Amino acid sequence: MDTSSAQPPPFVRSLEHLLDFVDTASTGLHWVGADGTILWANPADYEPLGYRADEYIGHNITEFHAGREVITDILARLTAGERIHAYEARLRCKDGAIRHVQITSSVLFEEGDGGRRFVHTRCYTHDVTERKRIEQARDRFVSILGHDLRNPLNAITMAAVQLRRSPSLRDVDARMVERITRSAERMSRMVTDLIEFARGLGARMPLRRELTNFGEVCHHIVEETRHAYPSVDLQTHSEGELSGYWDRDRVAQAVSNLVVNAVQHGSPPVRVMVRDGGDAIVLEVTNRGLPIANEALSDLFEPFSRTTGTDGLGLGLFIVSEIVGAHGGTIDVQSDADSTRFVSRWPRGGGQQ
Amino acid sequence: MIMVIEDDRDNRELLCDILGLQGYGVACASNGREALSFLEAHTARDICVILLDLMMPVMSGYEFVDHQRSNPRLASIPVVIMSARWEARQTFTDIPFVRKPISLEELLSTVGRWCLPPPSGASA
Repeated sequence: MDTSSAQPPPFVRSLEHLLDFVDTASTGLHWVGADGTILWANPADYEPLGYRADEYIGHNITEFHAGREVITDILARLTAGERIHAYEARLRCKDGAIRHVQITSSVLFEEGDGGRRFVHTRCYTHDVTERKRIEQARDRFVSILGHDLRNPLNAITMAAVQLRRSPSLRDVDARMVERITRSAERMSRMVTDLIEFARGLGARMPLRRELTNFGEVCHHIVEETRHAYPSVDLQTHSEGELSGYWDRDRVAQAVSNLVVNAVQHGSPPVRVMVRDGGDAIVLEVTNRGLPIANEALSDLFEPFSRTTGTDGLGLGLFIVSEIVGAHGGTIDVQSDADSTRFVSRWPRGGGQQ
Repeated sequence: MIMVIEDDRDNRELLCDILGLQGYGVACASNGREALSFLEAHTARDICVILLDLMMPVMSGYEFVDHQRSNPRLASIPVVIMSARWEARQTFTDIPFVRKPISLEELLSTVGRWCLPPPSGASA
């Protein structure tokens, strides 16, 4: 037992003061016994669920959880001596409504002759229902917005590509069509970046790792970029063993952002090199052109950084760094009079499927 | 015949026109419900592939896939999902996916996996 709290601070004159303090707390507090019975709770714990003290205290905690597997897991972890932090759970109100909470908890154990005894849990329940509601509304809004903006862009791009295939097109018209295609693709990329940014705010990027050949992904992205920028000298080189467990779509997105960034903001040739770096693979995207100012380099991976031009929203490199970070990797940039080079390391993630 | 299910009118008509110009027969529907009604009068042999948008009113692409897979008469028709959402590929890992904005070359090569090449002489 932690003895640091055995002596109350001198300003706590009575037990009533402490009880008054926890009873008026805005955070839900409760104790649960080893068998799951709620031994004690403050009003902030049961009132938001619509219960009175006698309808809550003395009952089993599992009765109030909407997901039985969640509370089973929580109790198992606590019994094993683990401390849980901000564990997300759903609680069922008296009227059937669901409230989203984050639970932080640990068990008070007492050492005795018979060994270690589970006295009770020390649970702090933080209600995040309103935050969840806002997040869900935001996701819905972003999703609808993305859909509605992309549809006309898709039609513009497809119609332009079909026009480009026409053998009777004059050179001057072909150049016009080329501009339509490129602008629509740029717009489309901005919409994607904006949606990614809005979705990712405050959230950890989910990954779906699968066995992926990094070289093949790079090759595919370079081919895709060549279609959009046929006049740009794009070179690829890959060497060594390039397999690992990554989220293929996210990797494609990151490589695409890096290659298009080099094409749009640098001068050709743009070189995409991917090589075996032992427990990671190393991706280098290099372009020639004016160097990036030293003071701008540190902000390059910040959202809405537009230090290399005003062609986009300044989210592309931020999203790249988020994707690399989610894979446990690193990214760095070097820029001098000769070239600008983005070097990223992508741990292979062996066994993390 | 290729079936195109897409709620956005410009995209739907454009896809149908482009595939038609390639020489394919095309059937167009603006949502999953409309497509199922059309398919009631046809057999799996009539349709070589279904190009399916996901976010649609009345009946979404997600619901359409559920209906199509649970109907033995339609379950064997290949489906290709067209979506701008990266997550869509992860929802349907067993269904081919064409990302929007659609690359025409990718679309035609995907369609070519199931549909006989159009008769020669079709204009591009």
